[in-house]
Amino acid sequence: MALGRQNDRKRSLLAVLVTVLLFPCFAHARVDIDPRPVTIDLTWNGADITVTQDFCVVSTAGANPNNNSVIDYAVTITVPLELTDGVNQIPGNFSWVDLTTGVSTPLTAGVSTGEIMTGSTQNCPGGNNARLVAVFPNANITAVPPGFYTQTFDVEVSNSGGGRKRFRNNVTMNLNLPDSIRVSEVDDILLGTYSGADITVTESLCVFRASGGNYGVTVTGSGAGGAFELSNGASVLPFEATWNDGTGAAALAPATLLANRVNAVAGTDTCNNGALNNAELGITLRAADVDLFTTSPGVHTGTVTILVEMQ
Amino acid sequence: MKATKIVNLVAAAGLMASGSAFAATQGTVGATSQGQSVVTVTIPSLIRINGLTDIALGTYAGTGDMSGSSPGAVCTNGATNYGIVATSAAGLFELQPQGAATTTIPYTVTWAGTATPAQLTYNTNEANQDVDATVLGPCAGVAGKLTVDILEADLQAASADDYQDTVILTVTPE
Repeated sequence: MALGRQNDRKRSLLAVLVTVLLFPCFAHARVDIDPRPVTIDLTWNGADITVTQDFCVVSTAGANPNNNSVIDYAVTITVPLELTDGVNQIPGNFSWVDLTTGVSTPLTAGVSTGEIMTGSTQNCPGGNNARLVAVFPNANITAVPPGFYTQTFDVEVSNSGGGRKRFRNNVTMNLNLPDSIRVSEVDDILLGTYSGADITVTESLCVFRASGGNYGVTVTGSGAGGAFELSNGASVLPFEATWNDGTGAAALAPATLLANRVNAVAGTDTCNNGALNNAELGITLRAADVDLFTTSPGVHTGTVTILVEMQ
Repeated sequence: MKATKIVNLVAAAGLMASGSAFAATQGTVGATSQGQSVVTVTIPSLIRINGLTDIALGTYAGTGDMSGSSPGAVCTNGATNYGIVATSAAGLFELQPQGAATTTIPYTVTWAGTATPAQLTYNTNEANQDVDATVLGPCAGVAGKLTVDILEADLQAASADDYQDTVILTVTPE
């Protein structure tokens, strides 16, 4: 009888042990993301910044790391999808790419993608299966002053298993945004047809500086030594040039810096596509020079190269 | 007799050439930035007659012909030849009385546009004249370019008065 009770206890223990061993295989899941954490230092080269980071996202039905029952997972980022210096923001456009299917899904802060992403087993034996893509448009970058911009994005992957069903990875992006300058909204300058009198044409354009500080300008012509000249291959006509930063037209000497210009525009590197143009290049062709130097009629052309620098 | 008055005229023949397609370039954002603009002007074929002066023939002494001249020059921005047409305010080459006289005094006009000066027929193009310069400026006058001659018979036939006309010269590049 004592042996019978021992056998009963053994069977009970065995039942419990079997139950314990069997239960996780059917009721728990596993989700994981690697590498983690991630820190990315960004560099701005005057254009959109595009960031890509690949991950291995494990998403299986079983908690055992060796489980190979792959199930789909979801992605959520809750923090604003932007870089910030604490005052100013650089918004970005984020997306999550399922590298197994090739499908890219836009991300919205605080909104889950739903369990549509293809998971993988431990260590992603077929290679990384996920990619975070972030694009910071150049217009958003030039809209803010120089400084240090950063954000830690809480990338959370999750599935609907009963075990560990969500995992959060911190992806930090840093950007040291330098001061910068740009000349834009430049058009060709058409002096028209000479009719016996001086011709003066002014061309408005945009000088952007991220900090709004002063700038210098150097204008170089296409004549020898940077001379301001128009030519048709046979005759050469000199012309004069001026620069007006809003304080009055100042004479330009060819290939010579005109320093300490003011009224640079900040916040838009195109002056809102020309609506806020803040400088004028003036070109004057003197009748006296046409008389003295034109040796053949026809179209005379030249180029002016405009170089701006921060001061 | 008062001098004839010469009026300068500059005739310009257009030479329009179509321009090529140009494109300005914009600077990029950076530590410095550089853009470029193409500047274009069309210079037509141009001509200038310059350096003319009034011709004061003075008072007729009663005998002999009278002759007077003016300097002048014709300059272009490339053309080497031109045509010239002479007309006058009177509508013909005749000095007009300035007072009560009713007579007129015919005269001839000679232009030294080549090595052989040519007598100009009223309102008739005299072609193939040689330019004095192929730049428009300064176009300084050359002595003896325009000559006016009056014959003794015509002077003796005229009533006492002051006589005047304006010669109009039109030049066109060839």
